[in-house]
Amino acid sequence: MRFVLFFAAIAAFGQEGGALPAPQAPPVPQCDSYSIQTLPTLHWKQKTCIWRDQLITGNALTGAAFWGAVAEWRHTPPEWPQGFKGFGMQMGTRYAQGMTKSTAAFLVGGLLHEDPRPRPAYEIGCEHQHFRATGVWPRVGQSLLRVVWTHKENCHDAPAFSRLAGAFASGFVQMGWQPDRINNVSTALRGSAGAMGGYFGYSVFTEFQGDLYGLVGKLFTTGKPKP
Amino acid sequence: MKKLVLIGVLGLAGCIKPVNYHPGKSVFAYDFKADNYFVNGRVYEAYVEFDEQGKLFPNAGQVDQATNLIRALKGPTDRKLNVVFFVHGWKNNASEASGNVWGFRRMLDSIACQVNDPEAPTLGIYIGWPGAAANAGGFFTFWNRQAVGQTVGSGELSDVLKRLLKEVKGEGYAGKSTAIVVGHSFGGLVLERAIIKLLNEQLDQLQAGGSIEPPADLTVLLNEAGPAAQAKPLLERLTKDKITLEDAAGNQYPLLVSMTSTGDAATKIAFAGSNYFSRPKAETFPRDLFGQTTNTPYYLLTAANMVALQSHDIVITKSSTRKPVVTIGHVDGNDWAVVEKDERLNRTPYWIMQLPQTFVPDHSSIFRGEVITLLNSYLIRQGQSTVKPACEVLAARKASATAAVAAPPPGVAFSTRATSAPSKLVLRKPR
Repeated sequence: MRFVLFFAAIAAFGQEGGALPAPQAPPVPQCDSYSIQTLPTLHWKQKTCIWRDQLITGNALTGAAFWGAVAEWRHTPPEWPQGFKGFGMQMGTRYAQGMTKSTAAFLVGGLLHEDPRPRPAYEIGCEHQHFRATGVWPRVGQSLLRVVWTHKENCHDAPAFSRLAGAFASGFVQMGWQPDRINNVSTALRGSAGAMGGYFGYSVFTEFQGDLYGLVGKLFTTGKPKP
Repeated sequence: MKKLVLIGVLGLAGCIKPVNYHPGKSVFAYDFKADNYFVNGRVYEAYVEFDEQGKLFPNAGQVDQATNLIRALKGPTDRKLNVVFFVHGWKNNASEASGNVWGFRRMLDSIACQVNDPEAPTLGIYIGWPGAAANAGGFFTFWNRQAVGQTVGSGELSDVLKRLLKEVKGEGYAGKSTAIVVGHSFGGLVLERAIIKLLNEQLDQLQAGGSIEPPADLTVLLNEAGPAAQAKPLLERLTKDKITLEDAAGNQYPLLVSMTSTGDAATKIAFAGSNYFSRPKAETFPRDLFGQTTNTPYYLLTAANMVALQSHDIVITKSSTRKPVVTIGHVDGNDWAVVEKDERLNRTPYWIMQLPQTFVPDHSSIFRGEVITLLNSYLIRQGQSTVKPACEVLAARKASATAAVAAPPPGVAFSTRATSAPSKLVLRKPR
């Protein structure tokens, strides 16, 4: 009888598929694309991942190549050679400026606990009203404001010193290789202004990215039935 | 020095080998604590992973582990489970570094919180395949991953889905548990191939004048990156045989839903552009069921981006005079509903439509409260009433929410929160 009960118990256990896995605390999000976009606050490692991704991306290379090609076509500065070598110098200088910009912004932003994302994620009890404007011009305004007025980890907003540092570093680093004729503070400041303009342009683009995609999507609605 | 830099750059932008990310234990139970990110639910996760040839990784036993978990969750009382299958897309896999793993995990946490019933556990089954091939410069892997997706979709996945769905729904798919199967992007391509094979098997058993249960309660393709040619044979079969999915009162429901965001530039432009040179030779034929005279649109466009195949629209109810066939509810300040498209050629239970950006703003942002609301609305049967979720954190979020990048799910309940029993749906084939 005991044998029967024993095997019946085993059979019943097998029918139920055994025990459930023991509940555990979920893993901690690291550098995956979803968590980096949606976490209310990022830790140091995640900020490092954002910085790493800014250094080696197709966008960083194609941007440097595009603006390098424009400068090559305009032949500025004239002291630099034309041709493949000249293009290499033009592209290289822009890529180096981009890396310097990202690195300076990463370091200063990390020290000051700034959120490096162009649009920080929603956080309960820590809403940022300058993310909620409607209408074209208010949205342009809020996207420009986001460049200079940033979100911090303590839920307070403050001037975006990281981006200022990034822009200045980008402008001044070119003094390491510019021809003597233009190797001065005035040129460096112009470069910094250009870098700051890049931040503004990117912020406006990200603000309207969804609308642009929607517009483009409507233009590409095809495959209608033939009459 | 130059060589070192080059090696460093190549190393960072290096290839990702297709590996099994859960070679030992592949089922987990997570208790999420209410904080300012997760809500408060217990979630069960199971991982089932395939290699580039569409085969299960050998000796991993992942399907057995998932099966045992389903049995254990059902228990001797045959509990009702809420099971969500998810097939991830391009540039993702089943590793913890994959954004889709985390998005799916957080979505399950929200669903579990909404269900809020220990007697109706929430289980997520993550279908992994080598969708990521490079750490950087991923765009250039499009053609390669598309081909792998096609192979995986035609491989063992269909049999695995069949086995797991039977475990969840019972031998004749007639059980009380809820099973939703979702595929995103290339995951939609993978899933569509596998599920069509499974559906065809089921339809082969359907006699004229008879009825049969569908294998899943709902199959959803979100921003699918697969050619419309893949959907066409099933659409033709469903049209010719006049097959419907309906309840006892004759109300119509979707067997499959393909929805693509109006803001999804990836499938609207990049997909067509990328496949332009690799499409099969153009063929012409007499006007087909969907008003086409050439095969080109079927290969360049996805089903949801091809106007001729679209069957429904998602509209704001106050600005539409059409009768809602699915009431979605209040989202982002408006009441939404699914309505039939005027003069539609696709009258099958394979519903195909564009998705407003309110629900999914672009190609990738699919793990959102608005999507949970949408999926839930397809599960609620006509005449069935629901109650609001009793999840305190959600309620608090809703009260304080003014912005929502990761929006909390609005107050529509998941299927088990319905106050009345759902009407059984069956596939019908008229005599």
